[in-house]
Amino acid sequence: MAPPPPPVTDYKSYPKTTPPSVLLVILDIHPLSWSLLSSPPPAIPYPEHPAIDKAQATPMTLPDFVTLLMVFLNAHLASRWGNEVVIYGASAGRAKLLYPPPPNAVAGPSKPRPNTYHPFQLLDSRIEEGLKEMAAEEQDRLEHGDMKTLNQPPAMVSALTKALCFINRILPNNSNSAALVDPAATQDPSAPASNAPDKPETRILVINSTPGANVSTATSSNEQSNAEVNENGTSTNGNSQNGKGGQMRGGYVGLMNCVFAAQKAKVPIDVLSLPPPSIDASPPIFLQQAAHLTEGIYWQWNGRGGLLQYLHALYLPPPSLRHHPFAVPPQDAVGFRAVCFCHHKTLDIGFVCSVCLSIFCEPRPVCLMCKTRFPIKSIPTLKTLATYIEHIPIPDTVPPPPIPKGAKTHQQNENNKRERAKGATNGDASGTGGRGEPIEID
Amino acid sequence: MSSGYEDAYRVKLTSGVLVTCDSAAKQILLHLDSMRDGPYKFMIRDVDDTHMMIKREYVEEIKELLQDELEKNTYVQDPNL
Amino acid sequence: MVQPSFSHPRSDPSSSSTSTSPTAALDTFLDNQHQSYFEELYKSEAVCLCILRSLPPVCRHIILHNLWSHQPLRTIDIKSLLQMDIQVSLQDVDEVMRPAINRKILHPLLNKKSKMIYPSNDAFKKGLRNALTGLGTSNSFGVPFDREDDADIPDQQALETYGEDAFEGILKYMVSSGLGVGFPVARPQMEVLELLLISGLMVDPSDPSGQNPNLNRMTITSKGFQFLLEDRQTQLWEILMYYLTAKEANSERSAVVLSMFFSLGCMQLGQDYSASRSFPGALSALNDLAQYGFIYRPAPESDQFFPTHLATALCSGDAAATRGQDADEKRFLILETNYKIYAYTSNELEIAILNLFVDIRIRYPNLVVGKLDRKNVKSAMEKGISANQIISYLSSHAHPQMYNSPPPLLHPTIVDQLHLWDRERNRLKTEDTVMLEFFSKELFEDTEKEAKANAALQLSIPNQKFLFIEPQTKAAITEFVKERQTQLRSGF
Repeated sequence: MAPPPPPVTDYKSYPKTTPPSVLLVILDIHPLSWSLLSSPPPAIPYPEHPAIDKAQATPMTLPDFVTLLMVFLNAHLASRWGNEVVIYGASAGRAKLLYPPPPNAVAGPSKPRPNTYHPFQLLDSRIEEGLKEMAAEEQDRLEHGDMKTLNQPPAMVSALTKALCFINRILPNNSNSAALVDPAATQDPSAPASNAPDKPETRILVINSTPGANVSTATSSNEQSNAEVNENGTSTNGNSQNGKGGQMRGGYVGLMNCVFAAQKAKVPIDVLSLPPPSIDASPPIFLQQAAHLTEGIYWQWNGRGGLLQYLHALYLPPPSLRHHPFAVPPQDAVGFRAVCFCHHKTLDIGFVCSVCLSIFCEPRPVCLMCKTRFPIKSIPTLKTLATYIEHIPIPDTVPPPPIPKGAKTHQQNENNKRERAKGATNGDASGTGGRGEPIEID
Repeated sequence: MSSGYEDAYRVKLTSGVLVTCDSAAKQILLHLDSMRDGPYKFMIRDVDDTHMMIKREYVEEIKELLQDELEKNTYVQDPNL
Repeated sequence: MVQPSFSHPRSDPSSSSTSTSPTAALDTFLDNQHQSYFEELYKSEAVCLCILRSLPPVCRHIILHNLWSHQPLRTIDIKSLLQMDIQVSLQDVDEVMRPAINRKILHPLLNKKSKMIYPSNDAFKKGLRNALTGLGTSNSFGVPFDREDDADIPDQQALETYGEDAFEGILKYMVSSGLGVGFPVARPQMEVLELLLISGLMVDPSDPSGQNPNLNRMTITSKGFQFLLEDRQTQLWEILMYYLTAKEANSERSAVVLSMFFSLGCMQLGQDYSASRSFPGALSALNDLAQYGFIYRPAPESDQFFPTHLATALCSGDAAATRGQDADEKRFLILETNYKIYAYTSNELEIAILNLFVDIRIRYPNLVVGKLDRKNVKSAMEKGISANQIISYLSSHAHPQMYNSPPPLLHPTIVDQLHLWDRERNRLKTEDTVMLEFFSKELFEDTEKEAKANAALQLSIPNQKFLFIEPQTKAAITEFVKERQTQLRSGF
């Protein structure tokens, strides 16, 4: 990943226009997760920052959040003509496109409202409709037996795959029409009003509401919760099974494949993780990795309101304005751990098949994936060698980006990482109101 | 203003029209000027490669003359070819 | 220094005027308005939305960033957002926010600790919030017309054709007056003709004083020719601004009408609206807009109206978007390096415009073949059309096929040649001057400095000790020279 360019203060170099931007939102609507969010435990005290500490933990229900999300999406549509929104809902084990409606669906509400911009109205009513439909389907599934599906984690991989396919479909490839959008073709300086349309820029925003890692567990504790049941129905090992937070077999690989595809297509994956630290002390490391690898923005809500402001402040600027000129919040420490293919444990030290690069938690004579045989003699040696490897401590934070010269440093406490993320976007965050406080809509 | 030829600080003022052009056009102007005599000369001062100073009353005439001169030197394709 | 690089006309200051945004006319108009005018405008949510979109992206996102905050924006916030050095001067921060300040969205002021803060305009903030949440009450996005469900309504295609015909009719009338080429044109209505006269796009040549013009005998002016070559959205905004300045001198009324323009721009093509309930304050202006094809009314006195694509595309702020589906229709020109032009069109208006600077040789039902030649281009330039306008017309109408060859789109030979022809017209730049000949280097340098400081200097030739100054500053400069002379002489 290229480091962000050095801060440039020359406002003349700011972009005059940006290409239209397509925002793909993946909304985790897993019912269990939202029930947790709607009755949060008291917030963890936050003594470094009294203004934030004063704010109470805010219960967040899905309807409340969707209202905020709609305002944010409207702001995205408002910020440029030609901006578009695509929304996927990810529920237990399945994902569905909520907006735009399929082409054969009835076209929106019959009548425009006099005080709403029509595209906003279409979007909002369709999201509401889509969510209700999806909730009804879930209800249906529950009533027809299949209680187990509720315990499946949200289908992030499915939603991500759909989103990437969507992007692939809307972006013109190397065809005749691609020549039309070739930016090089429009560089003719004598053609100020060249009508070759700009290639839209795309980004994915994952809104995670499920505590624990999405894929297996991400805790540093040794209690790993494995997939409850393999696809072929066999229990993987004798560990205590806990379905929640687990993932279907292949989920890790699927997620990582999506991430690498997104990375290659230069689609940033932004991640907003809703479960506050009081519910879930450990961040969802694989989503964090996704954001890190694709140069997206990762941020975890502190559970104290202010979501609307955070959405606007962190996630609204399109990729073409990020880094230059807008500051992006620095990432918290990213754990680059992987999951083994055999037991779905999160590993610090793994053993990799030299042929197919599969990861295992212990040396194996035969690779489970590609069936390559390894000399059995080498196994004890590998095991001994592995004990010499020191566990690499996961740093609390990544080194902070260069602080603008002369900027206030007194409030940027070393271990105060969340505050730093905010400080970078909001500047001096010590104002009396504090950005962490809930913001009322008047 | 100039107080005697010995004065190192004397200044000479002239009013007229300053012409800025490319050096090719300038050469044509010089040529036009050299074809004229006495009061009909329009050039006051040859300043440098791209500037000259001329008399105000000749400006429009000079523009037309230059245009004609340029027109003579332009190749016009025979439409029948 | 007198021969700039033709291939990069952007470095040429003269071209900057042609590469402006489609809403240039609107921007200039708004730049000259006062606080109270904006207060009036920002009562409408549609205006807030459109004004927000017209800001440059950086500025726009800073406004959105701060939209839901209780605190006014502070300089330090902007600096840290934009990763600016803390030492950066206030002017630079101001410069970034300049567009928003000009639109009276932000009011920079010093707070108690003499730090700069940027409180936002309450009306704007409220309007924009309401636009996003849909909680406004001004009906600025248009009240739909109550009609029976089975009523016969025109489809989008029909509306587009209607709008296009109405507006092109006016343009055709303008072209035909200038060319004398015979194609049948309907004379636009009297109000339209009046506006064309007031705006200076057309004049009555037999009435040079402009006292008593005959509206039926007008011909197009050089301003009118330039207008024809603009892209559609620019033309629309120019016409609207002429209308606004001509008809609505009263600033309160003018704000109401302008906010109606923005509302129209936010409406939905194919939807019908109620005129009396949407724009109670601007009914007559709405009627006038019908003459330009902005709206369609099924019956002349009906309350029901349909905005056409001309209206709904007003606020898209995106040249490509206005064309929308008919983009391909507008891309009909193939220009070869041998100056031959093939235009795949049968649109009378486009052919007439081409005829301004192209020598048309062959006409087929759907194809026109012609040649860019010196004679025609120069005659177009006599009419006041510049090389940059021709070039931007050619490139914005270029056939998709032309994008297949390696860039640049138009061959540099042709672009350069057009610029050369343009420059040929005025190879001489003349300006009145007073020449000062010096004999003392010291005096020369002092005077040069003085002249430069007073913006009186036209040219200075140090090795010959010539100074050329603006004639109107002659008195002041001679005064200075005399003073210096005395000083220098007494120095001995």
